[in-house]
Amino acid sequence: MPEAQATLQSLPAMGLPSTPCLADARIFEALYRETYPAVVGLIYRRTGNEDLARDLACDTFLIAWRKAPHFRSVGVPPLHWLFRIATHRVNRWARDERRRLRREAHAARPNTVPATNDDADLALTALLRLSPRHQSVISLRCLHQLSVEQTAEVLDISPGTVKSRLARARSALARELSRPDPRSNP
Amino acid sequence: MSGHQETPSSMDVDHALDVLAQRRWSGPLRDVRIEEHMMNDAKRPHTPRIRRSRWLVGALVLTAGGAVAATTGAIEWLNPAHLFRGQAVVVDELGAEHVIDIQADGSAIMKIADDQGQPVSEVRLQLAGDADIGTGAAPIRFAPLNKAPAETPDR
Repeated sequence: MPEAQATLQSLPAMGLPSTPCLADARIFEALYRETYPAVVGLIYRRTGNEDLARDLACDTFLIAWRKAPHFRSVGVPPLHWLFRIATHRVNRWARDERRRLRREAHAARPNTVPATNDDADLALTALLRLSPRHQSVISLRCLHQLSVEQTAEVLDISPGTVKSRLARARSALARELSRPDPRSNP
Repeated sequence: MSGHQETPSSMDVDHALDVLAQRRWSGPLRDVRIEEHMMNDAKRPHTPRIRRSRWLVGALVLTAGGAVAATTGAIEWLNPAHLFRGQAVVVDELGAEHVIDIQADGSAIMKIADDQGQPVSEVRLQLAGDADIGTGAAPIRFAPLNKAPAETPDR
């Protein structure tokens, strides 16, 4: 987890207390500087779109800024708190995206989505067909390589639930990967 | 699914996760600065959404009214901390920074500061021209309202 670890470890080095008052502009700025790449990176891996990742990251920090006065009561490290907000935000986007993919599949309009043989695009399409809940656990645990405990903290669920949900998510992903690719044109 | 054939993908889960995990974002960090007046302004009710702010930055022409001389400027970067407050920074051709307050109705107010950064006056801005989703660094132009709007720059 190179990106996330570097961020988590650098926060104390910045002189930030373990439960910083994020409503303090100086601390929020420092947090922003330290965590922006990790937050955008987390979102980028789920969306595959850099502009969208930046947009959703901006939304994430906007929400965080508004919730900053209540951060102390959340009881998680700042980065995991931001990941939690980002995950909720991306889940909202993912629900819309799933609806869009379904509409396009029903419409069966060739070339609506460009056909591609790129493995990353095919994998991303399969991932986006999963429920946002399954996408989240795969994203945090497998793509961002958080530990089970860290994933549980971000998702605000128990470690046992992370493990069982991940197993179901992997099965669902396997099913999606074995499904015909609707983007393949003759 | 008429109109096109379907072919099965043949990727296992581990490979799919591998290729997705290899996607790493390594873009630049945009500068950030939270100023005291923004803190005091935290409860302003008309803070536009980020996406709308990006839309505004993507707008091609700003037309300014008031005493400011016609000039050409560019929004060099979108400062998220400014965007939290519905603001952006315009850098004029002399390199001076001007904070613009983006209003919910799409207009904006530009604060003019002297060399020491002390506020001198405020100029009301009106957005004009076609707009699209900007990249966050789209060049814009602004001019006093009593002069012809600046031409739309090539994107």
